Amino acid sequence: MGTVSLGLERITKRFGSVTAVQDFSLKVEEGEFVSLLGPSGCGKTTILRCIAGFERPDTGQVYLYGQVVNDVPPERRDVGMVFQTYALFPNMTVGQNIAFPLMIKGSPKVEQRQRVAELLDLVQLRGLEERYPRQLSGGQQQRVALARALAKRPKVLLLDEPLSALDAKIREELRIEIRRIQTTLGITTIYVTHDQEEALSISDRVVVMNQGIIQQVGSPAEIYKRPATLFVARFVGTNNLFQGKIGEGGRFLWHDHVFRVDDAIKWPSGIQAVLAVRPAAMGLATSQTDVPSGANVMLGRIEPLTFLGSIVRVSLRVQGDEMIRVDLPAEATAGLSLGQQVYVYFSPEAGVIVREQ
Amino acid sequence: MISRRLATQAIILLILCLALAIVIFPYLWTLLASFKTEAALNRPLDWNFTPTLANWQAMLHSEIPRQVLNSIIVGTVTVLLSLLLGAPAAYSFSRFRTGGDGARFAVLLAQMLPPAALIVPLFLLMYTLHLLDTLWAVVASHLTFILPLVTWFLIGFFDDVPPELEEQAMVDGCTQWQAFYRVVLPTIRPGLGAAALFGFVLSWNDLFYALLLTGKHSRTLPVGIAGYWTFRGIEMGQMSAAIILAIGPVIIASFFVQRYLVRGLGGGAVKG
Repeated sequence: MGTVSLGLERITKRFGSVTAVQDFSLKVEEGEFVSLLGPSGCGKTTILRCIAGFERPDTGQVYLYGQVVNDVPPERRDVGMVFQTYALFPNMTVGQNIAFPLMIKGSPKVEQRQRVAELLDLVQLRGLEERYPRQLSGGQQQRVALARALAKRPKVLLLDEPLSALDAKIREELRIEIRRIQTTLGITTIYVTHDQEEALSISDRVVVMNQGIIQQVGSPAEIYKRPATLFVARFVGTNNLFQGKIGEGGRFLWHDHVFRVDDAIKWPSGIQAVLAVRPAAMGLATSQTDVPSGANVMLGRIEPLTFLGSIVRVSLRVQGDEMIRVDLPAEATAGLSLGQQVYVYFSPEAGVIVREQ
Repeated sequence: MISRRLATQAIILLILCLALAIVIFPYLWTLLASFKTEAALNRPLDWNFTPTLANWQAMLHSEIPRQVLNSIIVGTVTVLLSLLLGAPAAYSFSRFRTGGDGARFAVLLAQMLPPAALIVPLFLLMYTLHLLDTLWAVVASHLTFILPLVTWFLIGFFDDVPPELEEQAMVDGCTQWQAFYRVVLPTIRPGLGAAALFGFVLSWNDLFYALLLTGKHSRTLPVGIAGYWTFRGIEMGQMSAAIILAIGPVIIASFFVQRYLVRGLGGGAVKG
């Protein structure tokens, strides 16, 4: 295990009668890129503000390189931060904005100029140093904000939903850019977002939060493939959720179906649980002979199809009145029609059992 | 239908012209009076006269220029002190809700105190401090109503500055105080300018406190203008010239300030 650059130990923060964060603990290694992912109001920005020093936890400690910093004001914490609104100083040029932390630190003008040039190259904005923020596009403003946050070579970089104000295409380009810069510099980074695609695509680890509580911490693959709680299963990607009971010997009981689920072996039988299966892990067959041997099967009636580009999402009404979704390549849906009865199947290893909360 | 709309527009235009005439008339009359001889002034509504510069010459050779200087000094010092004290106060009200939500309205109440309630204690205070007939007495009295107004005015501007700007400055290494004067104050430069002009105009126009607290050496322009009303009668020609000299800067300043006046006067109330 590498050096722990940032530690949060049992952080709780309340605002009046609302508990924004409850018993939050996390250790981040040097150079790691960790995303805090969750819906609005889940406490992820509160955690970021506790790290930056704008909020003081009611209980718990914040550590930076082993030192408790609860009582250290923001200006002495050696962190860099990019706000959702970029917070560029409107009366300063791009160059002045980036140089600002160095100017406050008292760096010589020569050093300031050199560092500004270096950072403008890093964020690919050379030549724009004399422009004012209002003369820049959203993407350019975001790069300037990032450059400014890196100017004083902070130990930890904090980003609070830096891409949320941008359109989808620019977001995709810039998140790769951010990750490239972070990897080049090797700076510990905490990234707050409600966009799961963003979190999963650029992070070393993801912390999924809901209502101030950590739901799961893991690599993007772990979070996606093995959601630990019902919230994670619902929030991250799309899942078909079957509410039922664990049976004997790797079985899952759902209405009058008995599914064989490899993951069910780990769970005690008789308990209520939820089986999560990704739409992409399911298939459709028009006759029972086309269903692969060993797969779990149920009958379904096709509801409207949704075109998503290269794939088509087929909605089906299954047992009782429940709806599930199956993602198929567009060409595989040619023979399907609204109201048609089909066989829906998935393999025993495709499903994941999650806790109900 | 069209003629009815035209008739309505014509009536509105007529009312507006009438209102304009009512507003403009005193200024126009005063301007013309400043170029009239004493004899011509006896026919106040006579627009046909031979203009003269005698009133302007007499006015400029009187105490009026010195009184203009006194007014400028008093206005400038009052505004500087108001901004120096009012800006941090307004910031405190805006950012930290100092005194609770009602405090920003209490600031405005201070400005609403009638001058008659304050003049006796002020007079006694200035007498005790040997400051009567000095410009400091006028400055102190002007601060009683201009400082609260400037503070109130600036609260709205500070409310408009996103807190993220200061937080960014603090993450960049600034203390709260440094974030205030390096980042927040420059951001509200237009508001500071408007508050300064607004405060200056109020100080420039004050007659009541200046009349009672100044003497021969410290009279300001409004007192000087009032001095043309003598026992012998009103020296209307010179008085008119002095009035034009007094209102000229006010009218010019108003053009620059009006856009920010509504924002500043209303912002403190809306954001409260």
